[in-house]
Amino acid sequence: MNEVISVRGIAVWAPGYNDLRSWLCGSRDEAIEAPSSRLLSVRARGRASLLTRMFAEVIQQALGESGTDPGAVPLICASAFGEIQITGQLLEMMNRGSGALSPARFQNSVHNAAVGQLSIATGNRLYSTALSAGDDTLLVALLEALAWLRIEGGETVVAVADESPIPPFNSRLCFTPLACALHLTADPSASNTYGRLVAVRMTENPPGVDLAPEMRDNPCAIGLPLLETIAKRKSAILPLSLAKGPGWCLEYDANEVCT
Amino acid sequence: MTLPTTSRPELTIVDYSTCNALGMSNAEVIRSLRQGVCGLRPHPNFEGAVCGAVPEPLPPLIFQLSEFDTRVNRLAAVALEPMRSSIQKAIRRWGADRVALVVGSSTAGIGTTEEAYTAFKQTGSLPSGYRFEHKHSYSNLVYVMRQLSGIRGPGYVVSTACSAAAKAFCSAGRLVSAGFADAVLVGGVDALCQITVRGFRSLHILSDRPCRPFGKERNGLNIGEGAAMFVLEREGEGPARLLGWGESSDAYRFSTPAPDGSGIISAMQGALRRSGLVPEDIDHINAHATGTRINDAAEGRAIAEIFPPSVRVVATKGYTGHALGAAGAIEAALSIMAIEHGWVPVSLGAEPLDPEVPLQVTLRSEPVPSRFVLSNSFAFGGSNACIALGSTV
Repeated sequence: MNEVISVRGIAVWAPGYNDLRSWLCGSRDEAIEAPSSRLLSVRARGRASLLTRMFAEVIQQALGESGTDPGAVPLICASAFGEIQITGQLLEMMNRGSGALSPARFQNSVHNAAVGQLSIATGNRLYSTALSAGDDTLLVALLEALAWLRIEGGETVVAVADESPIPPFNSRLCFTPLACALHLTADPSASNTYGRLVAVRMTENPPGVDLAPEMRDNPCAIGLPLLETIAKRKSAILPLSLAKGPGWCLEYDANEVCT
Repeated sequence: MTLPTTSRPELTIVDYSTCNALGMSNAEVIRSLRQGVCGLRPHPNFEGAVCGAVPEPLPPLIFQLSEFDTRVNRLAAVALEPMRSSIQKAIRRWGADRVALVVGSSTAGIGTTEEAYTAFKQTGSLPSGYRFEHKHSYSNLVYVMRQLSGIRGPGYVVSTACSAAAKAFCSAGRLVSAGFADAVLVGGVDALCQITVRGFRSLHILSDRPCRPFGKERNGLNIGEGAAMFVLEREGEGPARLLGWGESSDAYRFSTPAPDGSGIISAMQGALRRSGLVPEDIDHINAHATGTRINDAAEGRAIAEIFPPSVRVVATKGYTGHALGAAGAIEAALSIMAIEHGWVPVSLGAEPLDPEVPLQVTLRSEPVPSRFVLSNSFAFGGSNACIALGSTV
């Protein structure tokens, strides 16, 4: 059983922001509409949804901080709405002509499209999974990762990403796409770590968070204050859910860094 | 919760319930299974495609949950109903915050969204009762199950297509083993919908007759639906135990398994390792066995690679169809029925067997005790999961 879970790498991608540094500086580049997603082959990139490309990008960036091979780390991808853009394309196909679907689009509509494509692209034959829990999506992805690390040890990368629902379903729910990732390790001797995840606990009054208006409805946006805290090397108790009322928090200690 | 040190627990399945093409309750399902009833028939809503629909209309959700009334949530509610007292007992024993919820699903409310989108195309507006936030996403399934059960621990959906429910068991086992929960309501649920039926048709792997897993004449799969739910506790008494689990990725192709079965072998070996069993201990294997030529051949090679030729292999999708994200849970329920009742079901449709599949596929219902059973589930993206179940005696 492994007790010390540390952060080795973190990453963010959103339109206009290629990485965590540009996000933290607020240096928006209007030309950035899609990530480079170099983990995927050129062919796979061309077919992949923005969601899958965002997952590929943040996983590569988070693992890249320590030079970790993406083919050798369990992948945990979580999303509240999943491949919603491709689902929209399938709905449209169903209502046109014969109503037949594209087999490629159908395959890529599954919630585990990103982990499947990434495991193929990187030759990763380990455990991977795809989860969903609405406003609790980051929370459950972290719990899944912590449970894995406590039992199996080693490392894992946790990524959350979401795109806004498609018309006509976005009248009440419209937000900017966003992806966040954390590379976690249970290896106490791992180098180049940030701080340590101390505890995950239910709290009656979780601390509030101040999110940009275009991000407020994105279930993954709750990851932004966490990653900002880690990047700025602060210790804090941070909320893990956008849900109102009593909620789960993460206690993060920036001072216990392995070097 | 601070991360407490925990030892490897014994995980007991204290209760379970399923509804699927064979029936609306455990009693109906086991009766149909014993009688060799096939639940597959042409479905008028899917251009006559042979499907495994549940045999009765599904009752609507209670009034307080009417905004969340979708077919998948109704299926979950039907499976939960017989387990109310077991769930309440777990909550009283461990506390509502210490009971988690992990469900496998691949469709959630997409069937309702399909109808809403078609209405939108025809009329220019969504149906008045449709709200995307309440009907479509996986979180609605979690919400409805929480409301019906009273569970307040962490709740989520594992959605890895056809391996989802088996992986829900793996996640549930880890949550308890790691000390994040003392009990888990775990299972799987999926409903028939146009996208899955038409999607598999587009891949040319839908069979136009009831599927023939491992059979010489197999030519594809049938889509099914249903739910199966289980109360899993750190310790207790019940019909079966979750002994172990294994997961792997093929890293081969998105919708074709590695032909040498290497990913499947890795998942089965993982389940054996965690459960402390060796291949000779396994009494029968509930195979994923969808009825497609390539998938059954890869699984057959994998099983033959590590198990003795005498191990019985059961294929149950000839009864229920392939319930996708619910399949692993439904087949875990069928496996527990075999353990409880000391018999192994016939692999419906398998005869005559494919001589290229070197397995002891069950062709007759046999009254033999099963102490240790493996159940396999595989999926798009090369996602593999295997769970090990055991008797409590």
